[in-house]
Amino acid sequence: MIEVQSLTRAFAGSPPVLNNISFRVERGEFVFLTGPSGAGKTTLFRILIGMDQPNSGTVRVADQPVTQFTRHQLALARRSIGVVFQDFKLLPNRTVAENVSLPLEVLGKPPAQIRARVFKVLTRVGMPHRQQAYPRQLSGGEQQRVAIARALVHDPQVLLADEPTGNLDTERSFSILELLREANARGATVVVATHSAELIEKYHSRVLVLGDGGIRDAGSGGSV
Amino acid sequence: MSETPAARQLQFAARLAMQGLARAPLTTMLTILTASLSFFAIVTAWTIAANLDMALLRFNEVVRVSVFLKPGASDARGKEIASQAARNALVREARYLPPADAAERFRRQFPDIGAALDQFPDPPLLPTVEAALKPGDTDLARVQAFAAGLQKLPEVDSVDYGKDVREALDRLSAAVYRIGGALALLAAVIGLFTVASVVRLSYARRAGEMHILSVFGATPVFLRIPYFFEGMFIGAASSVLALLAAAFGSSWVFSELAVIPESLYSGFGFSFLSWGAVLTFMLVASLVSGLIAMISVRPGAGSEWIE
Repeated sequence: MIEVQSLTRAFAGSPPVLNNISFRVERGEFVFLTGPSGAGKTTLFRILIGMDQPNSGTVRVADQPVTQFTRHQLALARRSIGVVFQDFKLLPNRTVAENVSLPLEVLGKPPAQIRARVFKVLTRVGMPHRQQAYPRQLSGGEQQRVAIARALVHDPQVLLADEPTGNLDTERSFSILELLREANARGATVVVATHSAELIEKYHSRVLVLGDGGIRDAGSGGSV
Repeated sequence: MSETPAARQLQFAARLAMQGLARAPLTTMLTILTASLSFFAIVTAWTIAANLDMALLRFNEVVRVSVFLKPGASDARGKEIASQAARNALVREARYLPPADAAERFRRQFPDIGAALDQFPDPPLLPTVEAALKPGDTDLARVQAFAAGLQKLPEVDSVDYGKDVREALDRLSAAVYRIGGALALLAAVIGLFTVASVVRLSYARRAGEMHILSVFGATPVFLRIPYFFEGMFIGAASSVLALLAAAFGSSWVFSELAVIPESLYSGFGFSFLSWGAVLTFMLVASLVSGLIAMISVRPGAGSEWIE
């Protein structure tokens, strides 16, 4: 489902952040991507969703060669990917329902279908009663639930979450992770970038560790 | 149409555009006002040019080329010259007017002084060939060539084609086209630059929104469509304002000009642009504003394109 081959990304005047790394994530897997700050987690995420280009190497996400795509092809490829950001990136002047509906609006879905799917996914994340609220009226945990709902509303094959619990306390972090696990149980391949050992140890999933430009497959969470 | 995904995507883009404009109402209004001032200059120049064109056309309709033959020229020769003139592509009709007929017409046109002609033993007016030009042809050079050709005939005394008035109108028309065209071009550049600048500001203000839409699969073309709609709306609103202002302004100027006696300007009626011209202006202003707005946010055009 995700295949990274000999990927290198270097920024001018610095050693490579990612140096010839390769790994695979199979369809339906739940994988943690961890490492110290500056190890390249966010850079790798940006490359996976086509927001950054590697210096060399190839990347396939949802079986699509995202590093070889034109801007237009890349946009179409992103429609099978859901993304969750650490800082939520909810649009402040749109309601919860409007934020969640954005991926469906981009796809040109009918309004009735959009309303139904938005309600359904907000129910899944426990937020059906806050449809008309604005992001500023929500707590951090609620905002991240909305962000996850937005990432899931178009049923993506791959869900990429970059430090989704970075701004949340432990209790809320666990509840967010449960939502991501549930999305995985429904068939999505999920990659979660985190530096929280607590989360990794609690959920026994495969862990990829980034550091010193390389990547190491550390097996399941308990062994990290 | 409304059931296809592409149509719904366009509707969504239009909503984004309207939301973008509504979020900065003051900026939107100021942009429309600024652009409408530029468009007003264009419409005004166009109105003046159109009225001068109309004046030239009207001049052609009412003024005839009069070929005065030398005294003693025979009626047969006069008819030949009329026939020759009628074959020219510029001429609608040409006829020979013997001195007696010319005198009779003079009496009809000027009854107060017409009786003075009776004091002459022979008709004092010269035999004349009168040629009416085809409406719509205002090319001065061709009329001049036509007149010069007639002047060369040995029986011809002189040719009158309203030379002074026609040349003055032609010079005025050329000057209006040159100066008005340059001013209109400058005004168009200023207006469109205003639209482009404001749309780029709007783009910068909404970078987060564009980022999210991009992450969830909006294509680069789709991301530009809301700005196309924004530009179109600004162009349409500005052109309507400019046209209204120009229409009221023209109406006032024309009503003031109505005091000029009709005989001084051959009964030419001033008018604002035709409905066709008005609609064309609105359409072109809207489309060009939309395209300029769309181009102004293209990747690499100086905007912070997030991808």
